[in-house]
Amino acid sequence: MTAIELAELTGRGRVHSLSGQERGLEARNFYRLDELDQVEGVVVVNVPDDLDAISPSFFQGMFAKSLLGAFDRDADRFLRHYSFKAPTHVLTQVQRGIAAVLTRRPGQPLAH
Amino acid sequence: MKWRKQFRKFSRGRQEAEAKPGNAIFEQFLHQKVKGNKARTAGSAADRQRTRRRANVLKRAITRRFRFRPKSKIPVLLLAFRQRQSRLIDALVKPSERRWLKPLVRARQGASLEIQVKHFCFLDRPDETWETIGKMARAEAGAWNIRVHFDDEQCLDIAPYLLTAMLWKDLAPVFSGGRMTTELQSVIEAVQLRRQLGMGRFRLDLWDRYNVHAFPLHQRRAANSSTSMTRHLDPQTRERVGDNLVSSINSWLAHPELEMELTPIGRGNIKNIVGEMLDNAERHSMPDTMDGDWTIAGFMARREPGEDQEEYFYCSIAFVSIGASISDSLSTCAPGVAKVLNRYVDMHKAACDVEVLRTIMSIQDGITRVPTAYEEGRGGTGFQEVIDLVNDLGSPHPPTCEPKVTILSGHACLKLHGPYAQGVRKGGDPFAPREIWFNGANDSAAPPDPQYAFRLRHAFPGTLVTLSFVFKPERSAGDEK
Repeated sequence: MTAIELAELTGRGRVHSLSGQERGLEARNFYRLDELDQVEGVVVVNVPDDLDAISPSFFQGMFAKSLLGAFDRDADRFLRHYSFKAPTHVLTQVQRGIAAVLTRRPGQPLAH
Repeated sequence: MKWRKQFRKFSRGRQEAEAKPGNAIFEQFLHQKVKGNKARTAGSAADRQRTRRRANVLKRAITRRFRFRPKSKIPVLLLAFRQRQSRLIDALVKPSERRWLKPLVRARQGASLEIQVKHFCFLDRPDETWETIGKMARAEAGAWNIRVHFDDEQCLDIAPYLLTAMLWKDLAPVFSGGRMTTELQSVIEAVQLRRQLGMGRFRLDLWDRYNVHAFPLHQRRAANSSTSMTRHLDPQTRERVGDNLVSSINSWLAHPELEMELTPIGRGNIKNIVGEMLDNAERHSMPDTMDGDWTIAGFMARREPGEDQEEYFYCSIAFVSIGASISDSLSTCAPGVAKVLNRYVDMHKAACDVEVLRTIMSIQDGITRVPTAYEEGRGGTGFQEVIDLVNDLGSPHPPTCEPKVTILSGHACLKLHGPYAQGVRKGGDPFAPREIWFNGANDSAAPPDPQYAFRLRHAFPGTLVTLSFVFKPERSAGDEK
């Protein structure tokens, strides 16, 4: 089972939140999510217990391409593939991030 | 003796050659001697110490040796002060109109002024507040002594004081105090703005009396100065700031009299507000490099409105970013965004300023200035997220204490409170974009309400977002939302 350790981005507890779209994009490259989107099985995203916030911008930077591309806007399929192990309040923020990704943009084609 | 010989050497022949009177030549000589070290940051402690030392040396030399004796009313630091350039000052006073008098000239021609400051709050009176700060900047150009009286009973918004503190280091040291109410003193002291505002020491026993807890001023390093190859993978300053803010709030709520703390959701909301706002400032205030700077400050005050009403905690946080305005930064947007933007502007430009219309459009969901983000279907949701989070934190609230957000950017000012406090997804569709058009129908086809979306008299050189919300003790203790 493949795992993504978000503690690597927090400096092992130096900060307790993740924010910023550019940061999310760098994290996507760092964890090679383009490849992980295609692997069989579940990818576990381990969120540290001391992490309080994942901002919608960071989530969009890291996962928008996956959700809109490989998973064709299917949030359930996305969450079955990327299993977030996180406290309840962080899972709520993940849902918020998914809603931000799926929000329709003006004049934009839906599919990649 | 050394000063006399140097001055004679300097002035030999110049008086006649340059056709200037003796005191003008003398001032040239002074400025040549008091050269600031350009590498040293203006306003830093070392710079102030050096300036003070040189000013004292010059003053002794002048009084001993020369016939141009400055009057004793001139502040010592003013003697050695040179005019400084600042984007904030240039925004408030046109450089061509700013007649900055040199220190010795002020002794003869300058005035002693008093400025009354009332309703100093961007949330409710953004234009008047910005003009008040402009009044201070204009008065500084010619006066030798200015007293500023802050006559508000309570501090409703930390943003004007934060801006004044940012402006102060580039103004001549002509401000000599003034009136300030006790609660204002406690807020200014708690946010550590007193020294930057050039004020004397306050009485420290006021702090507990007014139950003010503050988040002191935090600034990001200068724009475009990043050197790390893994800049975005490293823990970010804005994330540390969010952590510090939450820790500060929790440490105060843990006071034996209160014994409370923020819920995990409350912590997450505050950190997301800070993260989104500061990330926006970094990415959009410097569109070319996405490496802008920002300044943040805030405070929380425990207030007791009256015997019949419960006490509540009033919070004010301000974010300032100097650089490109929101309207200007949108010039790099993708064609799809430009089409929607231009259509909206063309529809309403007869009734409303173009910059205001562009700023209104920028806060709608899905509007981003980054073409690649638009094509990849991400971004453009930051402002609406912050507005939602502020409303979540501040609900429920006492009748007169609704959550408020005010945005100043360039000439545009948007007040997100009252009837236009939050974006709405049309039809209740969870994936419809959140929209807020500042009119009764919340429709882009109608023009915006000029009471809530209007043009400022003087442009703000960047973006300022100030927000306030209140929460009540019983909600903080028991709510699991």
